[in-house]
Amino acid sequence: MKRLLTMLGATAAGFTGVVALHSAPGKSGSLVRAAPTTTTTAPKPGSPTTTAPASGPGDATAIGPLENYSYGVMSVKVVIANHRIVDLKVQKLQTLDSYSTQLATYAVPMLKAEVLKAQGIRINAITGATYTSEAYAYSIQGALDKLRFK
Amino acid sequence: MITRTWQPTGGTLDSPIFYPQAVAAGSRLRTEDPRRLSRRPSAISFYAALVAAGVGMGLVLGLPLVDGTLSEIHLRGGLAMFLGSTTGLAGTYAALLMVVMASRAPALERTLGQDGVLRWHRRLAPWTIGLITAHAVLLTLAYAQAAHSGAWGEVGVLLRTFPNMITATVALAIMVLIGLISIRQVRTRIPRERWWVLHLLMYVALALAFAHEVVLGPSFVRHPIAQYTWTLAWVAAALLVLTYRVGVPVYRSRRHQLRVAEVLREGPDVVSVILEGRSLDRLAIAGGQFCEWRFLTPRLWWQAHPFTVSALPQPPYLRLTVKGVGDFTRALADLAPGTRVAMEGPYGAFTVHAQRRRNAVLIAGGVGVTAVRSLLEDLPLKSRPVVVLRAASEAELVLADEVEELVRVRKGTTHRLVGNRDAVPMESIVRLIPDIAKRDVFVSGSTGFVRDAVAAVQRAGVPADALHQEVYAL
Repeated sequence: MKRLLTMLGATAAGFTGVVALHSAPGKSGSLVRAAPTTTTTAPKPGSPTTTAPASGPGDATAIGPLENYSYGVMSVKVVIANHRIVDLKVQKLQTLDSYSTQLATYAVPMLKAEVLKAQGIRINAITGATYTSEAYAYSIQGALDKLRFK
Repeated sequence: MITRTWQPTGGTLDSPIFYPQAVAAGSRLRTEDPRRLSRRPSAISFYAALVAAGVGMGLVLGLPLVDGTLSEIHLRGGLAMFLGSTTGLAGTYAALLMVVMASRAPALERTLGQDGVLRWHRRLAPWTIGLITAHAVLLTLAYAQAAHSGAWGEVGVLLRTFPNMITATVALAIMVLIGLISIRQVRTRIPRERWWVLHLLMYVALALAFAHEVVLGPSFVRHPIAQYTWTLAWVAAALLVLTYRVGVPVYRSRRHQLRVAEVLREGPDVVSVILEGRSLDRLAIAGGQFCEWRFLTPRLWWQAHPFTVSALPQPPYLRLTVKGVGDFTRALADLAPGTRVAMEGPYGAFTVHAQRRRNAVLIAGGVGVTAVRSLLEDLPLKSRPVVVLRAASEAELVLADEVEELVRVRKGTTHRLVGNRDAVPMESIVRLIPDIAKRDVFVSGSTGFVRDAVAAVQRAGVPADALHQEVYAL
């Protein structure tokens, strides 16, 4: 009985511990990250308005860095025309497993539409494809940084 | 009264080491030499292990709640995905605990005894295999649902397009196979040695399964702390196994350099093997314990068997006594003197360290007398033990004269009961000892004997903490 109570008490402690630690402030918990309202943002000083980009090239193309999101790697090509992001293309996508491919196929068109609309990567992550969304956004950010597009 | 003398090979006539009076003298010598006493179980280390096991369970049950799997539960296949992750984690954690239990770590062995640890190992086994099987089924269904495909087709997709999934599937097959052959009805039909070799494959299965856990598991991918902790826990479990099942036995076997000195026939199917070795005064063994023995002959070296040390070491000698039932134990009778012997152990909590009260009753059925025989040596003089020796026939009452002599020196009483179960009911054994409820009771013998004796002793009012048992599963 004493042994059982010790065991159960320790189990409760471990359980509470991991849940409490994970939801502690300052740490981006997956619960928060995966929530549909979460905004995936890269730190970007002087963030732009969604309509008119202030500076940068008029017409240019750049390929973002290959982002590793553990379930796969992805890089995105960004096309700028007339100071606006006009097209996005997944340049390279290699996933660990077919489920991740499926998630990317499902998430990328939605993400593309959001980025084009927002003219930046202040967008919502797709639930169930959080890591894919992050990789997509970060690669775009890398490409935009190359082009000094703001 | 000289019942039997034993002349060690190459010894002298005046060293009949297991001659009862010499043994009585030896027990005095033993209490004067604390190095040889084995250590008492540590309650602190046991509870520390219990707490660690509990905290670990809490951690793995908490992980699927925070790793993002729970927040995707409303998606297609999300529920099965969440349940599949949880069952996989819980089942594999239970497997980790089972490995630790099989590691022979002294903290567990001394408190629960080896049969206690292995009982828990067995109790946990169906959960481990059940949960891991559920994990595989649930995740196949989950991915099939998410891909809008059939479950059978999804099996192929999983194997072809998921990394480390073929090894994981092989691991699952091995686990299920081992689970099946361990079901009592099946296990009793397989030779013990063959079962043991198959059972060893579990280590292979666990190693094969590891990669897919950390590469694909949502609790570990992109959660480096969880991943490192999980990896460390498995490394620690592997180290425990390597230390206590390989390292320590190899070290002890090399230190003691045991060889067969002589094989003696004690009774029908019962033989004593006298071993001769070095530094046996440094072997920390308590009366009632056993070791896993490996006789290094071309035919026998690969199997280890648990045999009780039936007399405390009298350097340079050590005796074990075995009832011959399997091929292996029958082969022991033909062991040539000089055969090298490797040992693993000593193990077991059927020792004076388990004693809670001043006086003890020792009840032995058949070959269970071996543990009682060596345990007696650890009982202090004038401790007035009551010993009951029960056997089906007079010839099977082995070592009885030695036991009687050890009991006489300790001012105790020996009862010899011969006859089948109907002729000598357990209740009559209990009635022989009016003050049994005030004593520690040690019971050793076959599974059936121990079960019946324990039931009778409990009816006589002996509480669980004063009841100690050693089962000889044949």
